[in-house]
Amino acid sequence: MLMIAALFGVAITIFLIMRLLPGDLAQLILGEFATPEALAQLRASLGLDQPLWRQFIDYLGNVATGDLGRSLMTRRPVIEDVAHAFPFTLQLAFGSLIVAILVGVPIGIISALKRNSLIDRGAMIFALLGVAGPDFWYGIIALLIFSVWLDWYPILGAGLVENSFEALKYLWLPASILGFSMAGLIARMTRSSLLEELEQDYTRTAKAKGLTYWTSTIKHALRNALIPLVTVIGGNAGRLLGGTIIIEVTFVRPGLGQLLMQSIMQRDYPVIQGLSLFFATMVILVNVIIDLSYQFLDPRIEY
Amino acid sequence: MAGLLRRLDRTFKGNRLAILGMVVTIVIVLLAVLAPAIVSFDDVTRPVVREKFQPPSTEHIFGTDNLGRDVFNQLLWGSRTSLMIGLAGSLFSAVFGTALGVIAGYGNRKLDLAVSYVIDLLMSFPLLLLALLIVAMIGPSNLNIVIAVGIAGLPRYARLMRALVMQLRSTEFVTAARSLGSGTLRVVLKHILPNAFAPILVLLTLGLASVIIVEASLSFLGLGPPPPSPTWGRLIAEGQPYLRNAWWISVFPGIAILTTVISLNLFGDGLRDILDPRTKNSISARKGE
Repeated sequence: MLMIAALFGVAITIFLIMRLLPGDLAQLILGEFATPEALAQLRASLGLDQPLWRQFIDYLGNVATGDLGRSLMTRRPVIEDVAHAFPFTLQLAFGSLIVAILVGVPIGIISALKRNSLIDRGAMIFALLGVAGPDFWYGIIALLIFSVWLDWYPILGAGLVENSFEALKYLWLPASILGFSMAGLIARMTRSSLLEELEQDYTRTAKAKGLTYWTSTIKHALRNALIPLVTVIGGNAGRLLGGTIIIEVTFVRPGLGQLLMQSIMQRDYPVIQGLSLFFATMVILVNVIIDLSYQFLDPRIEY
Repeated sequence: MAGLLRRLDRTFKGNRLAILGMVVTIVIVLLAVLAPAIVSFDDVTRPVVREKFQPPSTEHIFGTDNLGRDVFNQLLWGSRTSLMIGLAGSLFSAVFGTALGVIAGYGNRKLDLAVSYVIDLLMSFPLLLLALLIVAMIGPSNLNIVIAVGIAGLPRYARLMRALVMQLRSTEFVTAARSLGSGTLRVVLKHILPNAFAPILVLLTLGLASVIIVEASLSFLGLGPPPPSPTWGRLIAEGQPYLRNAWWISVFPGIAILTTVISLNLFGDGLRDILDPRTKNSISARKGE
């Protein structure tokens, strides 16, 4: 129910951004030298001559049935373009997430166990660099090192989705860069949450009854400390997707971000609209899944 | 000087990184302010084709770009753009976000639900995507970019403010003020806002860093402040095709961005530890969430 309200709101927001901002859409698309007849024709074909409420109802109806309109450039349905580009973005997002967890969690654990040591300080600076620095510039530095200097990475592109080995060859570098920025967040969260659990009574009890350091810390405390990890991932789904846009442009991967930038440059409004809707829906969907997953992670939580 | 440092050290409770962040931030702001006195705008933007792709040297410490323009000078002027848009955008977010937060936190339940719904809605867009969309629709001018990043950054202030107001409205001093006959406006202005100032200031410092990143990202994507005024993000994009032969064009602007945002983050974290001791284990500003 909440999710439907959120999706509805997102649809309205995008509609408003696309229609109510200054300028006539038909004029923007055709340029300033368009004839009045051509403008009228385009307005009619886009439904712009209808009253606003009517346009909105039509738009909602179309969206609900999965019709995102057609691209002004290629005349292909927007949904097809999205479906074509989505696998590349999905690969990148998942790859980054895996890198982020594989790097972030161990760093967080070490920092918490060696609190205030040199390692801890170093790890937290690493985290800050990842969290606060510009992804696209890290991407450029990575290209400089791994493509230009070392020649380990095929400079641009994404390979074919079907060939998984080929895809991996193009994926590891952009995924590591995007993963690095999220690893910082995960490391900090793991650190603070593990520190908290280590001070809990049950951890002390586990130690007191003679369980080894390994069992009491890793098995008992860490398991609970990782529950907020899911929250961090959910809360940053938007950030991760936003990150794919700029990383795809940096590495010239033919994903959704690249498609978005291309349609912005070509003023292909149906594609921009459809893509925005798709991005926002993904964020909402991930958050719903995260909310539901708490029940499995922590039996104390009920809905 | 030594005395000043010692006092700073005491204020920041020995958090040397925060002091470093503050000092570097001040230096960057000074450089941005003094840029016109160091080199004129014309000298920065005028192409000098015979000097293109010069590697870093004593004459051009960060080298020159594909049009022979000095990279260091462009960074100097770029800092003005970044800081100005960062400040204006952050203030926009802070003012409107705070207002929305007060309305949600102090208003009745229906108002709270409505405002919270709008805030959640804005949060379900990736920050960069929202800014991108707005700029794509209204066109990339300095003012439009300020509006775009301002709207995109606004939900965080609204959420913080809402939580603070909820907390403060049930305190004894607010109850006392109300029972003495203070109206809503007076309570908000005199009792709630002053108490919310410190956390908002901390968020402003950290938020400034993330706005600078968003502006740089927009510039990198070709939707930043329009030429000729140089921006850090655009310079990185312009240098990317020449990475093989002239790495310095893309590398140095990134170092400028990184230095600025890291300093702001360290400073902001330190500030939080002093001003807002309730939230320990701070997680600093993120870009793009």
